[in-house]
Amino acid sequence: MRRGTAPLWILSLFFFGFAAEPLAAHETDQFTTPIGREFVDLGPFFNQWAYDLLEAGVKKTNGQILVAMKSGGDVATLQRPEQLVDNIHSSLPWSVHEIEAFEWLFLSDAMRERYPGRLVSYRETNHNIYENAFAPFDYRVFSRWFFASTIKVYGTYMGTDKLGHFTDEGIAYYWAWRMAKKHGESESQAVAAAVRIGTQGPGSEAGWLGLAANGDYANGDLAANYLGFLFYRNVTEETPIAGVMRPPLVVRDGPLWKLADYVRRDSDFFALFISDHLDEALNPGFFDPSMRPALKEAVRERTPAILWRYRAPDGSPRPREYFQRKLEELSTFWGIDYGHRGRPAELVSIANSCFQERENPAPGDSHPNVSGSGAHEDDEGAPLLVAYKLPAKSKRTGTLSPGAVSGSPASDSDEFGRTPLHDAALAGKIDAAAKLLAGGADPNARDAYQTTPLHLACRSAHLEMVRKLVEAGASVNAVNAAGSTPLHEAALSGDPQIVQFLLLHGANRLARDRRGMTAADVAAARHNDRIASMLR
Amino acid sequence: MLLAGGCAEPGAGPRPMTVTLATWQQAVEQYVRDQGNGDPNVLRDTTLSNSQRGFAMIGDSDIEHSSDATGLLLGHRLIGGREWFIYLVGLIHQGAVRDIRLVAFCWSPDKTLWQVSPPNSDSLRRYTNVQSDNVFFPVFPAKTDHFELSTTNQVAVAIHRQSGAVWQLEPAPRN
Repeated sequence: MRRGTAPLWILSLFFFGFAAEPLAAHETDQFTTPIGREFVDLGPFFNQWAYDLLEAGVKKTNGQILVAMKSGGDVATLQRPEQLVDNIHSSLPWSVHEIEAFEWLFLSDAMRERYPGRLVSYRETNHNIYENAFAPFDYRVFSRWFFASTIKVYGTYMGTDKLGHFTDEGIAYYWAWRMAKKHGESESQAVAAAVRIGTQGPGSEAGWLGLAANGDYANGDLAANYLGFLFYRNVTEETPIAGVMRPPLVVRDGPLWKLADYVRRDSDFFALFISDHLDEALNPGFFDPSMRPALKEAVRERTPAILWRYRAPDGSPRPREYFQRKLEELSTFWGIDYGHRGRPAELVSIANSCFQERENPAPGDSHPNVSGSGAHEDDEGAPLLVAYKLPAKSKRTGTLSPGAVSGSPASDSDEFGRTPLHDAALAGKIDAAAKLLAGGADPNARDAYQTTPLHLACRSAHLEMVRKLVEAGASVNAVNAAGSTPLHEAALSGDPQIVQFLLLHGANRLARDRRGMTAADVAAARHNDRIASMLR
Repeated sequence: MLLAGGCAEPGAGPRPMTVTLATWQQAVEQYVRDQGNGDPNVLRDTTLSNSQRGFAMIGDSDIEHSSDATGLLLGHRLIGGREWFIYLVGLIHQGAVRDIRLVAFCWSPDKTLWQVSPPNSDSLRRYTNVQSDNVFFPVFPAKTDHFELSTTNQVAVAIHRQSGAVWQLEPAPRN
């Protein structure tokens, strides 16, 4: 090493050793997803994740309270909302490790096999929109090595990096908000103080978490921070979220805490914390001006795939105005400033990259004029669909016909032997099931393979449905043609509460299916040690 | 090393593989075993990306470099004394439908049975000629496709209403 270069090396080691990992998986690209490939909607998966997170925090806090009650400790302090929120957050790994764990899980064979024919996650590490965005020797090019996959959650396309922002930046917002409130600041001042965590200073989107690291002041990341803040806040207090006043997720239970009734593994309570604000294609970041021309070109080249991804329900491409309205709508969170930066003209967006340029766009005057022949002067406002190699055809005009297999009549079984109660059980539709049962539906109805509604409720992990069916007289030891009991199905889906419920109601843990496996064997084969130990 | 953790590259999407009718069949059997605990009616609950019932496999996330198999579930019928799941399976190579077969699958705890219709280039041509009013690229099955399945005690017949393409299969051939 030449004399004089040591400080540089030390600085470099510091960067790679300490600064680089926080950047890991902090870049994402929703503009680059493959055409013609649908994603699995991981909404229910993340609902269970959030449920487990809350449950772990409640258990830990209640344990601390009970110990303090017995030992004469400071119970009041342990009962404070901050203690519960802190325990919920502390059950999570560091955000980068959390993101990486999700990345590996989503690419595992188990997930691929569970969702055949769909993408669980997708990332294009090399040929993403940042490929030509950085000048030679620009240190920010390193950010391209740390890439977060795109996933779909409750209909929203987002990067896995948003989960880290949600959990770790969200808690920082929460503490800033609490501190501001403690010092007597108004609600709006306290929220502004929280948002400043993400928008100002070296550890913000304006600093090393954004512009300084990768040239992107990511509005989607700020939205994730803000939604995480709302989540932590909503743990113990009523909170306005997306125009809805949401009751607390956790409520007092005497001296202890318990999850609110509506918070269940299958109730989709987490859906309110997911929004198109997290989608960096619909809500793009404010990029360093030097990067914008290359990024805009990269987005333009991806026009067919982008317009396919965000197509209307009838399959036709959406007009420029749709994306313009989205930009405007997502610049605040239901009227609240979450730190968004960039006027539409400053952003690299679908609206200004994927359509023909024009000088004076007027709302409503650019319905898609799709053609495989290329762009013409009179195509202003039309989508740029000419780049894709597969043959482009005329606009879809056909009417939507029902699928090849239609639903079953309300009062009869279909050709698979499934009754409406089977369907309600599988989908977790409690109200529909209650009506059917009240109308005389058989809770022990068998389909063509002897599977009962209770089997399906256990398979799809709907605890309330399981309760409802058992109360209505469903047999917990029904055996289907494969020899499976509801307990086998619960072991497969891995819901400990359902397993516990079935055991309490007389399920036979020793029953073997046609392969000779007990429910414990099924859980063990899924590497679900918790369930396996419950069943042994 | 810290950086190694951050740089880990799990990959971009599904690992590329060549999907054939045989691999599709294997995947169906494995799905019944692993996701249905041996209950084949789990196949009734899988949907294609356009919400129709079916079972699909993709070879690569990039359509232009992929071979896929998409099976549209047409029905579940009693033929020759056995319950059969009847699929129309499209084999798609680089975004183009290259073959379509009528496939029947019968499950029992001891063994599974498969029957596959022979190649039918005439029906394939009829189908692909009228199918493709999709704005982006041809897909199988299109949301607008209307297939009719009819069965007798020996034979299953699928007709594509728009094109008149016909596929026929004998799950329980006469001996």
